Amino acid sequence: MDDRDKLIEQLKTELEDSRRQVVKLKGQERALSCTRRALKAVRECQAVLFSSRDETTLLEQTCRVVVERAGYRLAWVGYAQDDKGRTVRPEAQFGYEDGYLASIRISWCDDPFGRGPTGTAIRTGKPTICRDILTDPQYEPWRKEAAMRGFASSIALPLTRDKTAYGALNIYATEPDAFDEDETNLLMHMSDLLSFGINEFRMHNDMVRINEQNTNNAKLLDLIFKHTIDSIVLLDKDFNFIRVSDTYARACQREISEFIGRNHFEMYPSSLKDEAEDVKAGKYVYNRSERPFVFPDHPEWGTTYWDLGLVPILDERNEVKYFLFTLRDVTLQRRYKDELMALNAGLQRRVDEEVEKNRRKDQIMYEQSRHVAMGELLFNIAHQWRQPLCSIGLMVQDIEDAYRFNELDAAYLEISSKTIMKELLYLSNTIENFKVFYAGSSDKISFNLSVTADRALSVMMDYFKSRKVTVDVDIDRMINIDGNVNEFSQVILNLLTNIRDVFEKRQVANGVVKIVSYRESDTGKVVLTITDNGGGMRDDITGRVFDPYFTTKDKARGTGLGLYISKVIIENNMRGTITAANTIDGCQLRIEL
Amino acid sequence: MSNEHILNETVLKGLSVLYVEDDDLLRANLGKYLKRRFGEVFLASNGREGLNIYNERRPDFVITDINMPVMNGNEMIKGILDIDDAQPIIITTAFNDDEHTSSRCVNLIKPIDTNKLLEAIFYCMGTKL
Repeated sequence: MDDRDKLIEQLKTELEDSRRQVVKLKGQERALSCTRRALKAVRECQAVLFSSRDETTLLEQTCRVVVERAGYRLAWVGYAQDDKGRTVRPEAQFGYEDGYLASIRISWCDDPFGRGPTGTAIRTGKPTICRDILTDPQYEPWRKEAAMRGFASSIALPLTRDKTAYGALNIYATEPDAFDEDETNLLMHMSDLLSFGINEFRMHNDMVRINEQNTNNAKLLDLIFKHTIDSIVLLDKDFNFIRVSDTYARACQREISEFIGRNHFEMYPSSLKDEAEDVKAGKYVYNRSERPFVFPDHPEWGTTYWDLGLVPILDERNEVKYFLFTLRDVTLQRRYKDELMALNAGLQRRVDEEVEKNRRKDQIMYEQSRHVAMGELLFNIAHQWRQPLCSIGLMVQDIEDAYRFNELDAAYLEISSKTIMKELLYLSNTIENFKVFYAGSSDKISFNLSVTADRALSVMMDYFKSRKVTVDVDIDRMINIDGNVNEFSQVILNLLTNIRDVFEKRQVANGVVKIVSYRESDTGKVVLTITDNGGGMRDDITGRVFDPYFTTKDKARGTGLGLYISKVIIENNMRGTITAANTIDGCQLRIEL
Repeated sequence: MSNEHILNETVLKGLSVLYVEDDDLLRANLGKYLKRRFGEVFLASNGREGLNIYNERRPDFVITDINMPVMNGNEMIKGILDIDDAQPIIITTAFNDDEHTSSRCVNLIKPIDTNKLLEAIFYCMGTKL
């Protein structure tokens, strides 16, 4: 080997070295230029971040910067959708797109359409690179459309919040393997900036929305406190006023501002405090209707009445934090109620008075009827006694007369004496019969109906005989009745007296009185009917015969009490019924006991 | 009870009387008293009977009760006065009221005092003669 050859070899080697050096330098320069571009893009992205006023502008401007400043062919931002296909929807783009985004389908689920850079970046939250679109097997779904538009490599940078990816910034380069580590880091920094910006916008929006909501809620609360009809008071746990409704302030005749911060029970000391402390200790809901309250600052209002509700509101540690105090002024209702009750009490008193008056009136009428009955008795006694007295008188005078005419002997005297004694006995019996009407106790006893009716009839019998009235009696002798025998006798006598009077008034010849009594087998009731043939009641008075002071007799004879008292005795005292009805030629009184 | 009466009573023997009374005992008793004194005594137990007897016998005196069945004393008196409006009539009644007395007649209230009755009879004789 000669020197020349050696030199040549050396030169060749050096040349080769230089060439390698140049290639290396060129590569470094290219990388440097790329990095510079990327750095420039990052800087501008920062400017965009500060200048953008909304999310869409931020996205669009960022894409523009990526393409214009960093020299990429296309940049777009897609957000992961929560739809059925979990698609990624483009939100903004810049650069040479030519319908690319519309022509492709990208998802973020783990399927062929989701295993490209975008889907993978969203799923994993890490930057994902496709070094060569023409050869990368994962890029199959989009290869044709991408190649057609000159995309050779691409990177997808996740957009994250709280470590969760919700979208991706996608960048396409015209040469393969365009994204080395440095550039990827820079681009990642850029996408972080973008994420930060997006998140800031969203947080800001959220805050605006929350503020708006709070404002609205506060407004609604204001409306409630302003317009509620019931009074609403919010107290803290120590019963200091936090808030009161307009109605409450109005009811207390104060300004709302006078309450806030002050203690309820210092302003209005009352026994309610003890109950409120109880509510606080027991943490229960307190409810009262028509609770009386006197305003200490307005004693002239008198006692007011309130429907109250005191609700303790607990915090998360189950301690009382607030009290919600609701009140409704029911003073007027209470006063109306009191007035109504007073009115009712007055009415009741008047009713009682009237009842008492009626009772006394009844008592008086009863007394009157007793007097009338006694008068009737006297009348009947007088009638019954006159003829026997007259006979006795004549017989006494006859003894003297017979002596004068020499007719008097032992036999004559004996007959006279016997006859006189018979008459005297009759007088005596009459007294016995009449006694039942004015003597005897007023107690209720069991008495025999037949005996009682006979005795009452005997009082009238003399009259009926003298008028040739037929008296037909058919009374079951076994019937006994519980009651006051005096009163019952008076009823029978009243009815018989009415018959006597009607016979007299209408000059009834062949008068017939039928007295029938029996026990009804199906009801067990005792029925007593007294029927006459005196012509009956006039149609226009049948409804009134039992009314007090109603009479058809002339004033000297009738008081209009007989049937009324009979009704009182039978219906009130003996719990029976008495009715009057006309028969063909007379009237029938029917008593059921 | 003076002798004067007994003497005067003898004038009644020439006279007749109608006594109308529904009470049997009374009628029998007073009837006995009248029969001892009057020449003729007619007894009737109601107004209808009394009027019939009056029509037939025209007695000098009529003594009558008022309350009687069939025909009462008032109706009978009216019938008698229709026949002879000067007929002396004595009413014996238990009731001292307008219904049972008559201003036209002499009214005696029961119980009957026979002396009073006799006085009434003499009084009527005086008016008649």
